[in-house]
Amino acid sequence: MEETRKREAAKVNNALSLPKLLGKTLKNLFKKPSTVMVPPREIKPAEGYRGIHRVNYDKCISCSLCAIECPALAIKMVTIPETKKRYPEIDYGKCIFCYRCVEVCPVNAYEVSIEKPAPETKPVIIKETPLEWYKSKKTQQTSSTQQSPQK
Amino acid sequence: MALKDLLSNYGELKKYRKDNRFYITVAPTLIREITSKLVKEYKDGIYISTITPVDLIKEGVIEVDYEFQILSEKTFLVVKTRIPRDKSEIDSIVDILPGAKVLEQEAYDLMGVYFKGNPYLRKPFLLPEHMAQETPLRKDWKPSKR
Amino acid sequence: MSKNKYLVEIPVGPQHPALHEPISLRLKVEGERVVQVDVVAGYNHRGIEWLAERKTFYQDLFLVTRTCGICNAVHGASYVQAVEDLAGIEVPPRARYLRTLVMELERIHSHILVLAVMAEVIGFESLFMLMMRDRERVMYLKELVTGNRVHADYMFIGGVRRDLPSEKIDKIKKNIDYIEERMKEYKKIWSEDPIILKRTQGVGVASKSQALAHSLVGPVARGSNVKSDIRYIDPYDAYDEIPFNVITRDEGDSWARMMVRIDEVFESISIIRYILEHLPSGPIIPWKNIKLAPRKFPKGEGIGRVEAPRGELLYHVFSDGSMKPYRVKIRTPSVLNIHNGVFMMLDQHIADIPVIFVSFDPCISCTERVTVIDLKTNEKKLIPWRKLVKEKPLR
Repeated sequence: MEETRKREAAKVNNALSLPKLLGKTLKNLFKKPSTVMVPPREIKPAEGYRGIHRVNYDKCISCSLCAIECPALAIKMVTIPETKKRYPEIDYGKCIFCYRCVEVCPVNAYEVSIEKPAPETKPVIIKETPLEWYKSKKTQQTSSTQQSPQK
Repeated sequence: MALKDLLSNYGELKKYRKDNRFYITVAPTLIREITSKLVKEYKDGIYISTITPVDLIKEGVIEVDYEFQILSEKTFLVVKTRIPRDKSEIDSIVDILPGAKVLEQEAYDLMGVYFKGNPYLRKPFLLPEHMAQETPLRKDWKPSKR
Repeated sequence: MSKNKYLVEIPVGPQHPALHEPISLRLKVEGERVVQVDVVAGYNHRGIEWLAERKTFYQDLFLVTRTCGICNAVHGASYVQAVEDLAGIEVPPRARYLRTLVMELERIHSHILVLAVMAEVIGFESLFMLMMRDRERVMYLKELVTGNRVHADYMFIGGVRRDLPSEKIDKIKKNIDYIEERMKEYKKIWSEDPIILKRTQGVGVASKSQALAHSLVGPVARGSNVKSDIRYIDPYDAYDEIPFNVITRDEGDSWARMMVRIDEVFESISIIRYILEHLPSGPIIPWKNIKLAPRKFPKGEGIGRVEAPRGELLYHVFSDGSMKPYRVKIRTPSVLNIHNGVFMMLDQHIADIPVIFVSFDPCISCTERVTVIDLKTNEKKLIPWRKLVKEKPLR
């Protein structure tokens, strides 16, 4: 055992011969650096990355399975006062991006992307909450019903 | 000697779903005897994998599972014992297998199983100081306000 | 003894440049020699076992992988193995191979990480940077296969959560070739560099009988010539079909433990190559759709055991027939290695303590799992380790 160690230690002398070392140095000099340069460029995530996911409220059937199954309790069901229907609202500050909600949804109402979530500790709600979605839907409907008789 | 013959005096050796995993239910007073017998028999190939205390509140007992891996036989053995919940004491095996030290400390800290003869037990071990008297993994434990 | 008058206590940690995670080692020294070590733990206790009893089986699947950041896929694999053992679910062959693939990728990046950290602790910082650069390739592969570079969340009760398309296989092969080439060079450095050899050889020696008595697991035990590898002694997933060697060394010192890890990386690479060539076709879950997985599990108990990068990882799940598990016991390899392995530090120099400690590949998040803490230590309460380790004479 001692001998093998000594033998292994003796190899160091011919381990990296000088020309080989020189070649490596030159190669590394002209190579693209491994680190991200300043100002930072965005690193593209790999194909199939679990990024930000959004709910398509038009598809949602208000079963609240996603809210029940969520391991991080990041999904809250919000009731729309007029229709008394409940829609999921995701808090991305709590979300752990496990995609359990995407997987469990019976109508595949979740839309996924490879967009990277911003690191946050405070609650982060996406731009479109169920209430806003309902409001915009209603205004669209009213405008279309107003427009149709004119046509 | 095969494991079955070795433990034939203590009860029936039962099988888990996997072929090389067995369990046996014994009285808590026998645990030291069984451990020393196992260590003596498989001198060069046994280690204690874990000690799992489970609080069975409905039956009023705490089940303490000693899980051994016998390397030379490729066998996993669980020795199950049951101790009363209100007097949760069992003999320590730390002098037979020193590896059980941290497992006994953890079980004492979180489940309140007192291992008689283990000088290294202390509370709190992993828990914060204000929880020194509490045993959070028992089913009737409720989080206290700090 | 009057000699004890000259004992000096040196606290190492919980915040210390040599230790990368919060744990405190209280060293009692006599001159340069360590005569007593106390481990003070509890700085990272989060209550995962307690929380697991209060969530459903499927929520727990994502909770338990958060026990540790580096070895999260093995935590998931061990948990699902325990639940499958409990419910008697058969895993399809393709899923078994894919699980093995992800676990081996994880073993590679975990071993490269600890080798890099060891190089940094020794003071060989350029080696640290080079190894961390190459580790990033493995992280990319993990992201490609599972969907996230750290938290894989790949395992599912009964199978895996996503399939591996054939176009990704070429990418994996290409990167694996690169890593193997680099690792050959690192092996040369680790076995020949005089600084590394002088700092690690003969430091923190554990004999075979000591390693067994103190229940050491994983590369720490294999460095002391104990053939303790769950892949070999209790084959799970696809390991009973894949040929591989169990790496052991008989030196038992810090260097032997690191060399075991390097050789295991090569072993993992050959396992991955075998998997990519022999990947069976078929479904990845036993049900038609992942939504059809059972909600309730029968009464009983299940054991899951996996060879994590750090050693044997054990899950013992008890169920009372409801949607939530009755008890989830997690025994991570670092619990045994850190707390029981400190006997190796006795009679060593102070400067060697970080080297010995890092050679265990310590993972503090794994070691502690119950509530957030500040632990004020009372000096008198601490335990003398000297009594426990009688076989090692003190000078």
